[in-house]
Amino acid sequence: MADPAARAVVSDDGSTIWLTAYTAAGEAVPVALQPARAVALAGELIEAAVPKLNVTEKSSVACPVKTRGGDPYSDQRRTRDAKIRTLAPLVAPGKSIEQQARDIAGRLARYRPMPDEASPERRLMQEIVEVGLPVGADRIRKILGEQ
Amino acid sequence: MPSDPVVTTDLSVRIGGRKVALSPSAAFTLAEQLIRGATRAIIVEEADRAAVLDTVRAAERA
Repeated sequence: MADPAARAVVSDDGSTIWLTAYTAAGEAVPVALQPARAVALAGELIEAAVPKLNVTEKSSVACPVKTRGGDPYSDQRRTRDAKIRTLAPLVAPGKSIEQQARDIAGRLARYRPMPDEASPERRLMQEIVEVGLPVGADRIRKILGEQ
Repeated sequence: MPSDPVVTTDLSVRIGGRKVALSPSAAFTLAEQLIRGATRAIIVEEADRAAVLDTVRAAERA
């Protein structure tokens, strides 16, 4: 059974880290720590202290962070833009960005999904349409210009 | 030499046969001080090692 002590103090003389227990009577019990052990001990202290805080950890999954403003569809937009960039050299290779943008916009407007899309272009168009964000020639031109 | 400190689940730390009960904030403060001390010691050690290496290389070149 360990004797109770009043407090624990960390000190550092520049070369050695000391963790000292002081009793109420003023008796000191110092222990020298290697830096790695000091870090490990800090981790153990934090691990033991967190459950005592009596707070429920809020994860970003349980309580999604509410963003003020910004683009709520940024992920979908990024996916769509990446697919448009992949599609451009397939449907209009060697053409100017303006021409590629017009071609892609026209194809997407005419596109009707088939049960089994075999060609890579049609599969990409299907994925772009499935993202569900409308996109016109001007926007496609900007997306292709950002490459 | 007292034995290695041990942290218990009831948030106490045993140091050389003495048991110090900690509040959560005292535990975090202690942890912070330990990390600060360890970081300082590691940086000093690295700097010393680099200085020694420089000295050895300079001696080899001479």
